Amino acid sequence: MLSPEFKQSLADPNLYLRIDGILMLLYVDDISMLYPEEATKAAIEVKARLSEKYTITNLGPASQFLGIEIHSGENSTGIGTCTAISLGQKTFISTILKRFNMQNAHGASTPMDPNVKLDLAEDRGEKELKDINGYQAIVGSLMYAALATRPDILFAVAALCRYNCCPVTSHLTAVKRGLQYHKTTADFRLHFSSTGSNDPLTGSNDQLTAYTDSDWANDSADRKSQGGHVFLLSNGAVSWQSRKQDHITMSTLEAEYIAFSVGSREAKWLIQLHRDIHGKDASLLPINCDNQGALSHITTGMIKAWTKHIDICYHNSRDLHARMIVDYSYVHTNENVADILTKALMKDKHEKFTKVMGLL
Amino acid sequence: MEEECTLILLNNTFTTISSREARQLRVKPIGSKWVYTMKHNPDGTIRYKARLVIQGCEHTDFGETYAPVRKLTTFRYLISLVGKSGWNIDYLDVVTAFLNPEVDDDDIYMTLPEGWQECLNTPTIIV
Repeated sequence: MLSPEFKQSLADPNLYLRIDGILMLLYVDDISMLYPEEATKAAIEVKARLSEKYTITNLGPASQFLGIEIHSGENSTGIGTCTAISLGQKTFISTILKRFNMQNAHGASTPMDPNVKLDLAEDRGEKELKDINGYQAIVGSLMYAALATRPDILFAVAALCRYNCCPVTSHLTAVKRGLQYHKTTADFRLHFSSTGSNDPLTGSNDQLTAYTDSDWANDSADRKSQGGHVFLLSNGAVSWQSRKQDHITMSTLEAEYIAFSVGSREAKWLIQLHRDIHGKDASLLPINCDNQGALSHITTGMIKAWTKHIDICYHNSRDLHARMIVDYSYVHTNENVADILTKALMKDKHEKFTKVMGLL
Repeated sequence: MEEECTLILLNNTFTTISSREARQLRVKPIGSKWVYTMKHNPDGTIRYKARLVIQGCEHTDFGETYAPVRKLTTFRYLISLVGKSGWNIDYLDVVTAFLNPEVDDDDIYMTLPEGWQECLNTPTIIV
């Protein structure tokens, strides 16, 4: 579709790059074109060429994409002014609140109550909901927000969608709590900016930084652990995941080790994307976790009696460590941002980590 | 609907053949229909849109169909780069994108949509 001077990215086939820094990102029929200030002239020329071939409407500077609003503007900080850009879903959130009749509800400060146990609700003899579709619709709507701009609610959504097939009353209460939280935080936007530093370890925010964490055997129904990771760049979260691990693990060490492994896979993909865009390899990517045992397991490569059963597919982090691609290090639990993706937190911690991810 | 018709003609999406020719080719044409949607313009007015679709469920011999859908992570990654280096983002939209790509392998046969001007004498068409 595009002329040969554009190279397709290996990491994402919908991204096309040109040597002078023009990037084109396709979404079916929508094209986002990114270019540095000095390539403005070349960009106009590319646009003209495209419109020769296809009927194209030029919508000008991007303002929204798939219901995600893009705000850009100058941001003045103590250090000086810098360009800042943020993503928000205010319209989408107010639409879902209206759709589920929650626009007049009370707000909530966290998406999930840490004291509520969802997993054994069925065993407690609670009645199954009549309107299962209604439940699924709310979870689905929250899921879109969680995947697009809201890593802070991802754990809650991931936990709730496990009960999509057989929700009971307490699940509905929990899902409504998610909506109440949205009521309080509808204005939240994911901010990306270049000044100020969030990460005391590297001291630099231009560097992609990752956090992984796991909550060992938190599901009392099947004793599997929840794993999660988040990648920060320019003071904002760019990639995040919260997922129940496939295997039952014997120890926190093993659960954290698997979380490392899953995070490392995403790291490899992001490194490839970085290489495609910048044309050079990324510097050592730091991944942090809060378990010394898992860490030494990677760095020393030792196999002990209680870890010898760990599957080969989870040893990829050792390789990345040995090849000096990823730098694994320790961070205290209270500083581990990925904590927010593995369990329901109390208000203070939740607000702290939300802020670190650039959501405010 | 008129807009879609014009664009279909402009893009040379299909040519028509008569039903006798179609019988000679021994092909079974696939049904088609119009899909109408109501779209809201940014200024609050309502726009009616028509799109001609082929009933793909009747299509048996298909190769690869692909529409580029990007990862949200890539999008956020690029947005964060914009935040860092102050790049420009422009947004372009290809009108009736699905009419543009070439169908590379065999011809596809489709019955003419309802209300098509020439449908009186040529009931089968070829893409």
